[in-house]
Parts: sequence; C-alpha cells; structure tokens
Amino acid sequence: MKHRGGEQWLYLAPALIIVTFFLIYPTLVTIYQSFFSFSGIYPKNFVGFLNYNRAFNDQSVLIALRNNLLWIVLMTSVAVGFGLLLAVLFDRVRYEATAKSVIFLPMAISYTAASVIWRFVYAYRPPGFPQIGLLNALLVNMGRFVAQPPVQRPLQVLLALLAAVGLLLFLIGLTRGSWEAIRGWHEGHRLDFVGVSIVAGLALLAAAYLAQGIGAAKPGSWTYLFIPFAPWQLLVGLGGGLLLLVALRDHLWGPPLLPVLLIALLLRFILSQAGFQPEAWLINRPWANNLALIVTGIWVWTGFCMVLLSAAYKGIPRELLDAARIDGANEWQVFWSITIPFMKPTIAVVTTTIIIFVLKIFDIVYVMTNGNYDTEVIANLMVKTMYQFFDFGRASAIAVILLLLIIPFIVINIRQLRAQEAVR
Amino acid sequence: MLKRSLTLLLITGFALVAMFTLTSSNAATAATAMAAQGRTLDFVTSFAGQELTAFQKVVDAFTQKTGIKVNVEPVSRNMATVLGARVASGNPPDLANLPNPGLLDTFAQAGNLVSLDWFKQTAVFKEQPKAFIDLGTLNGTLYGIFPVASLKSLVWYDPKEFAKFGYTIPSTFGELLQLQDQMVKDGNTPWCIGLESGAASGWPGTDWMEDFMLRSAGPKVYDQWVAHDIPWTDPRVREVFQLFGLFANDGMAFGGRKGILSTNFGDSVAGLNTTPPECMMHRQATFILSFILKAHPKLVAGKDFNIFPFPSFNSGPAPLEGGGDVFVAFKDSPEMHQLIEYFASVEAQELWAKVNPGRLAVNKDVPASAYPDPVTAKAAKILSSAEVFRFDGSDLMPAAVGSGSFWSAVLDFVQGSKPLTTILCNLEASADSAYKSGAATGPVGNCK
Repeated sequence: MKHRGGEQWLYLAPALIIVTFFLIYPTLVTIYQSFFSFSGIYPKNFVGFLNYNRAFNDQSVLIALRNNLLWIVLMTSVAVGFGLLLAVLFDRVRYEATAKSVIFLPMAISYTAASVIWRFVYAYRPPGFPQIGLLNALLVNMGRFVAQPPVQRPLQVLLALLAAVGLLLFLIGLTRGSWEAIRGWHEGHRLDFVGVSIVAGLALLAAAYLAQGIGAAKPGSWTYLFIPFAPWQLLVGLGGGLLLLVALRDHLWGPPLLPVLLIALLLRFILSQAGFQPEAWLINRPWANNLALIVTGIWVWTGFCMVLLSAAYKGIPRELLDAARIDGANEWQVFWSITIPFMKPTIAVVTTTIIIFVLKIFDIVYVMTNGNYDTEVIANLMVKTMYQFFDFGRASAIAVILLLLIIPFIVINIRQLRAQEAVR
Repeated sequence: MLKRSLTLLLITGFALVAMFTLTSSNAATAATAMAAQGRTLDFVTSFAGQELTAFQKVVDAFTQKTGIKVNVEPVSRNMATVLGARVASGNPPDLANLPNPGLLDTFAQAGNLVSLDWFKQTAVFKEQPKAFIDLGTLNGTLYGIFPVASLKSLVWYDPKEFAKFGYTIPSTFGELLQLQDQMVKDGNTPWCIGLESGAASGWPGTDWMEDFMLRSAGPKVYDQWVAHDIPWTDPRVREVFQLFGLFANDGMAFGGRKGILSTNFGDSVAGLNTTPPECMMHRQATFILSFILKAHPKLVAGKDFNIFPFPSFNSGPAPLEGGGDVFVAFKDSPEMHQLIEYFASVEAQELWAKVNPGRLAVNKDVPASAYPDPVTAKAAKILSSAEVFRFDGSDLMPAAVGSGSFWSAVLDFVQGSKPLTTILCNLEASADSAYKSGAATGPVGNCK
C-alpha cells in the first residue's frame, strides 16, 4: 500500500507528542542530569562520569545489583514455574475458575498493601511473648507440639494417634472418589481439587512431622538440612524414596506427591533454621530477609503468570495431545514434547515481562525494609538518593544504569511478542 | 400578613445596618491605632498546619496588646532558599523563624541579621536560660532567641515499678549503669528500645548517640562532629557507638538485638506499663507521651509514668538535645524590639504552651499551670534549666548521612553484622561525598 505524503504522521502525532513529552524528554533530561552534581539548588556543576564512577564503587549500589540479580533468578523462575504448573494442573480440576481466582487474587491487591500484609506475616516478637506474625506464630506453636516429649505423655500421644487415625479414615472415606481420580490421572480423568488438597495437606503434615524427627532440632546451620539424620531416618527416607520412585513409574502419582515432598523439605529446612524460636525474618541477612521479600513478590506475580500461561495452554489443539496419548506417550512426554514447545513463545514473553518488573522492583522493598540489612534494590536506592538525599545527579546516574539493564529485556520481549503474533 | 412580614423585613434591615456600622467603626479604630504605630511587621515562618494556627494566636495576642500589626507569611518549603532569595533581592522580612541554628550562622556571617544585643538590657533577658542565649549567639553577638523548643534527652519510667524495687533516679551516668545492672540482677529488663520506623528505621538510635556525644566528648566536639570537622573514624565517635552498645544489647533491652530492630519506636514505649512490665526505662523525646496514652489510655501522667533527664557523666545538669525554632530579625525597628521582647516573655510563651501542646516554653518563669499535665511541665522545667542545649545532630547533617548512612549504621551496629571499623569507614565514605565543607573531608586512615 502506498502512503500519501506524510498522512501517517497525522495519525501518529498525538501518540508521538505524548510519548515525546512524557517519556523521551524526561529520559534525555535524566541522562543529561546524571553528569552533574545537583542538589535541587543551583548552581549545577558538571562532573563528567563522577556519578557513574561513584555508583560502581559504592557498597550500597553493589549490594543493590547483587539483590536485583537474586530477585531476577529466584522470582522469575519460581513465579513462572509455579504459574506453568498451576496452569496445567488447574486445567484438570473441577473448580478451575474458583481455584484460579484465588491464585490470581493477590494481583488485584496493590503491592504496597501486599507488602503490608506480608510484613504482618513476618512480624517478630521476642521469644516467650505472644507472636503477632503468622509465620512466627505457626513456628512457635509447632515447636510446642513437637517439643512435647512423647514418652512422658503416653496418654496424650495415644489420644492424638487415635484422633489422627480416625480423621484419616473419615477423610479417606470422604474422598474415596477423589482417590480413584488421582490414581486415574494419567488416563485423562479430571482431578478432584478438594480431594487432592486434603490428601496433600495430610501428607504434608505427616512428612513434616517425620522429617523433623523428635528433639533433633538444632537451630542455625545450613548444613543441618543434610547432616543430622539419624540412621533410622535415613533408612526410612531411602525406603520411602524407593517406593515413591516405583509409584511414580507405575501410577504417575508424581505431580501431586512431588510438590508435597518438596514443600515438606522446605518446611523442614525453615524449621531447622529457626529451631522453633521466632525469627526476625526481615532482619536476618543476607538470605532470610531477601528470600522473605522475594516470596512476597512471588505471591503477587504467580497469578499473573498462571493466567497468561493458562490461556496459552488452552490454545494447544486437543487433538495433538490426544494423538500423542494414543501413540503411547505418557503425561511427562506429552508435557515436554508438545505442551512446552507450543507454549514457548508465551513462556518467553511472560518471563521477560517478569524480569522487567523485577528489575524495577520497588514497593515491596520500600515498604518492608527500605533496603536496610542488605536488602537494597536499584529502584529503591534511586528513590532514596533522589527524595531522601536530594542528590539529583547520582539518582539520575542510577536511573540510567537501571534503564540500560532493562533495555535488552524489552527488546527480547517485543521480539517474542512479534514472533507470537506471527505464529497466530 | 403582608404587614407583619414587612415589619420583619424592616427589623432585619435595621439590624444589618446597625451591625455594619458597628464593625466599620471598630475597623476605623484599629486603623487609627495602626497609623499611630506606623508600621506593619513582616514575619516569614516555616510553621504549618496546627503549629501555624497556634503561632497566629500568639501573634494576634501581641497585636491586640500593642496595636502593632504582624503580617505572618507562611513558607511551606525550604526556608533557606526563600529567605536567601528575598535577602538577595533587597526585600528581607522584618523577622523570621529559622528551623535550626546552622541557618542562623549562615545568615549572620553574611551580615544579613540585625544584632539583638539590646535584648540583654531588657527585663525578660534574665528569664532566658543561658544555653539558649548561647545557641543564638555568634562571635559574641546575639542574633536569635528561642521562645519554645522540644526536648529529646528524657528517660521515661513507671514510678510505681521504681518504688516497688526501690530504684532511685540516677543523677550521673555511672549511677545509670549501676541502676541497669541492678535491674538485670532483679530479673528485670532495663530498657525498651524500638528502632523500627518504616523508611526512617534507625533514627531513634542516632538520638541516643547524640546524647552520648554531648556527654562523653562535650558540646564542642559535638559541633565538630556534626560539621564533619572530625571524621567518623575518630576514636570519640567510635566511643559513642560503643556506649550505645552498652544499652542496645541482648539482656539490656527487651527482646535483645532482634527485638530492638523489629520493634516500632512508637510501640516499644508501651512496654513500660504492661503487666508485668517488659522493661523499666525508655529514652525518648517529649512527643512519646501521646504514644503512651494511645497504648494505655487510662494511665495518669506523673503517677503511672514520669521522666528524668538522661544523666550527664559528672554530677552537673545534663546537657540536653532537642529542637526548636530560632527567631531572628533582618530589619531593625522599635516594633521589632517589642515583638522579640514579647516572644521571650512569660505571657507569650504561656499562651503558646497552651495553644500548642507539646511545645515547651524556654522562659524559666512560665508556670507549670501552662501545661496540660505534670510530666510536660517537668520537661519544660528540665529544658529551661539547661546549661548546654544542642540540636538533633543527624537533622543538621546532609541528608545522605543524617537521614541515610547514619540510620543504617545504627541498624548494622545493633545487629552486629559488621565490625564497627567497617561501619565507621562506610559512614566516613558517605560523609566524604555528601559534605560540601568540613575539615575532615578527604582521605582517612584506617580505611582502605
């Protein structure tokens, strides 16, 4: 099609003007300003690359860069991974819409509100005083439960056991149908969401209790995760693992059981770290507090990933999946050879989108720690330098660095979007 | 019917006319008085909101008394810039209140301020504490007076608990250390300290350290430290951190280090009055009173909680840390003299303390009845008996240090996550790039 002289510019003009005034102009000013020493009061002094030089020699900038990397790696992989898992699993669940809404709900909350919520989850009060934080309250109460010496209180243990067995029987009876459904998962039956949750929850509790051992809790060391298994625990673990492998191969119980075991392991790790004492999650550096912040981000973003990936999953032609199954492929093979390749462009877009958001992460850090205790990130440092320290030049330099870091991902993102459109 | 409403209309009309005549005659009298005095004073102020309303009331009382009109001109942002611009363009106000004595020095050195030495001959001069006169003096000339101030160097405690265990108010720093050891021996936790304050976490620790600096090294070194004439790696600064470590530590403060770091400054004071009490003492400024009453609304000031000044190293009166506005004059006139004298008087300050609770009168003779409760009255008494008074140092430092690296240094130090030398070297590095002046700027030994 031939364009007549410049008519297209007429249509482009409004958007172009807006973009120029609100995006290009501020960007250029920021770049310009980054070469000056300026505190908001004139004169501005030209300092060349001093602001950049300082940025890369400043401890807080280096920590911020390290943390941004940690955020990218952990939050992107976990949020996209969980999103993918949920998108595929929820497709087989009876209450798909409800389940998805629940996971997507955090996305409807502002980051600031989400951060405030999680600040309460992580809240710390000294040991021996009522815990107001959800996580520490759970921890302390679980500690009380485990710390009861079973030999000294046989009656209580007996009662607890009876109650547990009774509950288990009741639940099995209740979810008998679901149980069948789980076993028939590979035959394409839809999973019963509630049934799976109940069974998974019970398995989780049992696994956590067993894995913890009794009286073996010794706080504070990373190696604790691997070392102090008593021999009998090791045997039970190995035997259990072997049984699990068999189960996986024959009955494909993997998808529901694997996450349960992973969570149990994670729980055990957290418990071993804390030793049932309340922990100051937002203060313990450098890993616990950064992880605590990242978990908040994951909580918010998983729903977003899930929704996009779910849409892509539903776009896969069913005949292809059915054909593969008829040809004798099991679910894993179908997943890796058909589902993943088909969803690749969407996964790439979601991943780059998350990376861009994560590079700009600000609210969560600002509200929960303000970058204290080595949790600084670039965007928060920029805001701090600008509005707390009134150092416009250095803030601009940090902004430019952030911009340079983000540009490659924007390019990838746009390319992938185009590729995706080309496929359609 | 019609007649009645006509009468009503007439009456209303008459009343209106009468009212109008009355008001205009009032205005005329005021105008005559103004003409007699000849001059309207221009006062640029940084007060805003509730504080501005209170200030206006104090000024109105002056106008009512003397007939001198004062035009209060609020400047919500950056006093230094606005005043600087007005002075430069030859249009300074008659008076202004400056938020800190650093600005007084700047304007006085530039020759913009009028000497207030005449004030020393007035009757109200004797009612002013020496500390505040010193603070308003530069090179022997008085440039500014402080009508009201706030006070930070206070220790809050529950008198009932002190009586129960037989604790006495320490009058020296040594006695304070003995007292906290005794408390530990009795199974009590001496202190409640909360450093969490959202994006400003750490600031309560800087107040502690400023109090230590005033006591261990004295006001002169304090000023040098604030102006960055001595580096952060100076042994005297190091000592201040170490002194803070004697208090903000496991076993000494409720919840230990982790508790100190995760407790909000406003929540921590509640521990004084819980049953059983979480701690025995809390060091905080006068404003914390409202937090105590918010946590425990039924408490009675003076009976359930009280204050004593954070003691000095020797037995003399404690040096005090706080804040306040210094009133300076840019133009000389008899009306300005009257206004300055008025602000320094018992009359003005008593009114001010009443209309703006939380502000403490500096004048020694302001009666305790001016305050809403005995604890605030006591704080005012402590303030007006000051021999040394200094402004919150971290507020005077460049923001990148005073509201940035100093705060995080406090947190790092309490957590014990970095060696003190590293913390001080980081602080010195940030001060180096943030200060425009200061003798200590430049490379420093001990740091790499």
